[in-house]
Amino acid sequence: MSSPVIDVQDLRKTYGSTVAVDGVTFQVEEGEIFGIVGPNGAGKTTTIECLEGLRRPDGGSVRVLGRDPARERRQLAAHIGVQLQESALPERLRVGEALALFASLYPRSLDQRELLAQLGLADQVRTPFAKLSGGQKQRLFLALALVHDPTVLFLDELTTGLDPHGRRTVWELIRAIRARGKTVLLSTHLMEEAEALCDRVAVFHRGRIVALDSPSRLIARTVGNLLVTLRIPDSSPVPPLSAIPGVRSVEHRDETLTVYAEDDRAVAAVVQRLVEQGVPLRELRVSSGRLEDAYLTLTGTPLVREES
Amino acid sequence: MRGLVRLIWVEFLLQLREPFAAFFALAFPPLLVLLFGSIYGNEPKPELGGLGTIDVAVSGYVGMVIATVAIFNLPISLAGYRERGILRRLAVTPLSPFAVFLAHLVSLALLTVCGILLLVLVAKVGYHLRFLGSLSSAIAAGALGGITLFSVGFALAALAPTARTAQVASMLLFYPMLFLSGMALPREILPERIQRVAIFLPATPVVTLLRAAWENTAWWRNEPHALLALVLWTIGSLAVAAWRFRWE
Repeated sequence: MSSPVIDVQDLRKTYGSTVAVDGVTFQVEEGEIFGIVGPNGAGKTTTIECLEGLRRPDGGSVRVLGRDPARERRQLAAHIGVQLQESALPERLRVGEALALFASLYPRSLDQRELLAQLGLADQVRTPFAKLSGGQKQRLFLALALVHDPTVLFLDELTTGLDPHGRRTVWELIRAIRARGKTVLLSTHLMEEAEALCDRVAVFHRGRIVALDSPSRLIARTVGNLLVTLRIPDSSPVPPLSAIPGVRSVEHRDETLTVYAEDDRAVAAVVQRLVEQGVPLRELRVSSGRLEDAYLTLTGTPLVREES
Repeated sequence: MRGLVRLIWVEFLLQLREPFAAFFALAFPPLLVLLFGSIYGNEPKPELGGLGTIDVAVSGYVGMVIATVAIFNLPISLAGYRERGILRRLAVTPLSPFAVFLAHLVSLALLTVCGILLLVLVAKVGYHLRFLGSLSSAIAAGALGGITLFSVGFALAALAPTARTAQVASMLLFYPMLFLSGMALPREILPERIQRVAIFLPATPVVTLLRAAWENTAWWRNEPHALLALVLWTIGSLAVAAWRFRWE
């Protein structure tokens, strides 16, 4: 097997007395879309900045394409594409000028016009940076990260500020880039995004990785594959369901009963128990488990367990 | 190399698009020439050694263009770049930090040269500017003054945490120099005591050299104090810049 494109071993980084990253280990293989999720202050951006060479780790080792980013930042620069979480361009710099400038910094570059068209910026070529909307700025930064056709992409907060339509356009673009054999590491606040895009997701919490797996396995492992919801007035008694084999947890909030179940058999048992107890099956719905629930469980907002 | 040239060009364009910066570096000095030229004319006067009012003023205005770019444009734009994370974004490209620095410097030097050329052109066409010195001596004096004042500008950029504080610091340094260092007004009309204080401002020796070059004196022999002051300002400022400058 070839060596991983990104290799992080026991990474540590502290700012003063604050431990930002506290022993993080993971690898990203070629052609993978790897997601980092976690609450603010979980160490996501610090980890990405160590990979980009913007920060020097205090401990552990970091390798990108076999190189040490802190020491060989300029040699790596031509091979990595970077979208920083917080960045800006000079206010009066125009979109076309910015892209041409960044393209000129690299030995080779993609067709700029085509790239702007793909990102829906074709009409903004002469627009100054300050006059762009938040979503347009975000798409311009993505264009600047892609213009030299890098092997590895680091996208911190990929689609912040984008509307749902723009988000889907960007997802398609990222999938197309991966289809060309590129490796993508991204961080996001949107579990829907991580679920739709990532092959594997690392859940960061307080500077550590608390879970690392494919979205579907994270869901299955943490909250169960299936989700049963139905309406029960808050005053009505909730039948004891937690003891049913295959039921992970039960939540009753705002007249909605939510049951997290591992498989169809458990769902059937839940429905049967409800019928036996005479609970009307109003607005009963069975759906797939969501990464969002797994995430909330993993990062310390546990689902309310119903006592039975 | 291609990237460096483009960065220099883009930075130059951006300076031109900044109304405040472009006005004071390019338009203001020629406007002063037109204003004072229309009031006093440029007839030779015995008390000015056979030169006219504009002839004498232009050497000070050249110093003003250099000081405007060095003390205003340079620290404010550099501190702004740092504050807005632009330097960080450039740091993850193959461009070296030194190249980013160099591009800033060259584009601002270009702006200074444009300002001086515009000033001289307006004085020449409007008031038949007389120039008694040698061109090479004047260019050398201007370059030396430029190196000094740009170093001071870098020190300001290094000390100022934000673009706004850089702006305040620039004004605090620039306006006394404008009136006391002989840029806007000839130093001779100031009281003796103020002249002695003005010696400690970095633009004063710059104007001294420029005027000496204008009057065809060998400034490198006749102005040892001004030269020493320039060297000290340059070394001191670069030391501060090297010690305190941060990319983010």
